[in-house]
Amino acid sequence: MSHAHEAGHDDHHHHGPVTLKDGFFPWIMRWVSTTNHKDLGTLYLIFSLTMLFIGGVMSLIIRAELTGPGIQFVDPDFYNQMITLHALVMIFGGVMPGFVGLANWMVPMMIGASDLALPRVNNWGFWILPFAFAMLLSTLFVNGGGPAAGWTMYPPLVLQSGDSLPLMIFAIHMMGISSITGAINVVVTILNMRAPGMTLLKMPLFVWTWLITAYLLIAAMPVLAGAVTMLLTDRYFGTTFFSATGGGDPVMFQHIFWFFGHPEVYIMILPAFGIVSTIIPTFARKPLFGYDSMVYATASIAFLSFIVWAHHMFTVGMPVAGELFFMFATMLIAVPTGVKVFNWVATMWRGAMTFETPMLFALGFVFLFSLGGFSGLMLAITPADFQYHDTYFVVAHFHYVLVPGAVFSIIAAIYYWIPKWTGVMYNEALGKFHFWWSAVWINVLFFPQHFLGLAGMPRRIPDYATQFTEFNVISSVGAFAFFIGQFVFIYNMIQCMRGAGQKATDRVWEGARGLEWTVASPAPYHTFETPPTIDPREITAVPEKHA
Amino acid sequence: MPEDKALRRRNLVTAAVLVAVALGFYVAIFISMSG
Repeated sequence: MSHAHEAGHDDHHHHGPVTLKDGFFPWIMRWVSTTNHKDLGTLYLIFSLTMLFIGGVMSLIIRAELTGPGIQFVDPDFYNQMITLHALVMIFGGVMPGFVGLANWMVPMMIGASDLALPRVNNWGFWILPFAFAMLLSTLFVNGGGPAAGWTMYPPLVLQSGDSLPLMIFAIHMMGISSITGAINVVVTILNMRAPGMTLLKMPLFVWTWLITAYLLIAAMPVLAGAVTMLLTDRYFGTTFFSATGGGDPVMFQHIFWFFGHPEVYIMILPAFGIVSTIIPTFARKPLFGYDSMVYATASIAFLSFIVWAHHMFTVGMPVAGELFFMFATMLIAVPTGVKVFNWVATMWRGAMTFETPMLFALGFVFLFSLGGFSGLMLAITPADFQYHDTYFVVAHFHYVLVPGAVFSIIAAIYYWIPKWTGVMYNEALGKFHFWWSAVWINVLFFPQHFLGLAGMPRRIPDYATQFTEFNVISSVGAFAFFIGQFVFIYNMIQCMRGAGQKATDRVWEGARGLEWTVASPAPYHTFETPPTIDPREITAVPEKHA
Repeated sequence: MPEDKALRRRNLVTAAVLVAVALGFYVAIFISMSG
């Protein structure tokens, strides 16, 4: 073994990655100690998909419970734990690490850098995560069960949690440290390590959206950390930050939480905008329409995300002037978002379009994310929000932006780039089946929830009045069908990772442009060790000449 | 690839600034709450 380990060590530095053929222990150690951005990208993506499945199983428990009025399968307190953990696992374990994995793989290759700027920090940032989530999920087995006050952790309710509270708070701190280190790595890499000629306004949109997302992370995650630290001291050290009896204010927690929480929403969607802005030009065989306006729209959305937080809490009671400000500021977000949707449609206008799986998921994103955006506009209207608040309408809204929004974009990105990662084409027929199956059932799952919410069904309850039964049953059928369909995706991806399939060309897609397509498929373990000379044809930020 | 010391220094300085910004936000929340 020591011989194999030595050989592996040598390989790591000079010839390529250690494989299973070099022995099991050296292979494990490669993944534990790797500082390679491609390895860590793979680890992040596998971790993300694992968490999406764990969170998915939790959602099935929720949907199974809601197949009928009354209590069906689980204890109400366990139901609350599922609601809370489903959100935490999906947001911090599924979507965010998914985007970080894509950034790890693609940002250095797209800007012509050899790796991320701080590779050892990158390793540390990833390996924090499995421990954070092991700790979070272990709370299901402690005294009092898992956290059950919702992922928003509002006091005073959350302070009545059992022993899960400190474990959840420590886990959230670790997730925050992981996110911040990842974000710092992305910013430093993009600012300092671009290849000569790759000026800021020539960067691919995915890199731009990730740069802005990273700034959001650096500003927002410490705020969450502060809020949960104060929960911890309120519970264990006698402070009264959020207790009125000691001069504190429980509503202040909501302000601080959503000052983090709203930028968090955009942390989970801006990289998706970048992915869609990369895929649509490829399959429309046209440069992205309005590149500069895309960059400015992304920056505008990021800025606005910090001044709209109180639209999550219109019903707590605030001055009318405050409600008006947060309502109009929220509606302003529709302007840069509209610019983006317009640009995507204009990119496709008169394009030579084909509809491979990544394009299908990108188009599904544009259509269904926009639906989620429209219901967001409805929720932004303060007087209407008094009706919608805490109903299933809100659940429908944010699931439309997060599942056919963020998750579809991650799936689209994996289909788009996996031939570059593995050197093998995925099975296109299975990919198309996966898209259509997902696109149908995701609407069966979430669309009826709009009707439930408008009819007055509250969120976060295991029981409901009998008139809500039909739409709940339809929604639950959609949930199970959607979940089953994802195994087709997993099978397809595993086949690529095993090398089973048609060999991919270096360019992979006829219309693809960018530095990542100039290297071999599969991408060599080390790329751009010397900065590349950029062929102007690979710059995706080409001004539109035919509009 | 030969180590580029100037780049390494620039990376560390940029990262240090960003760490300071993140810590600043963390501390600022406590300061705002103790007012």
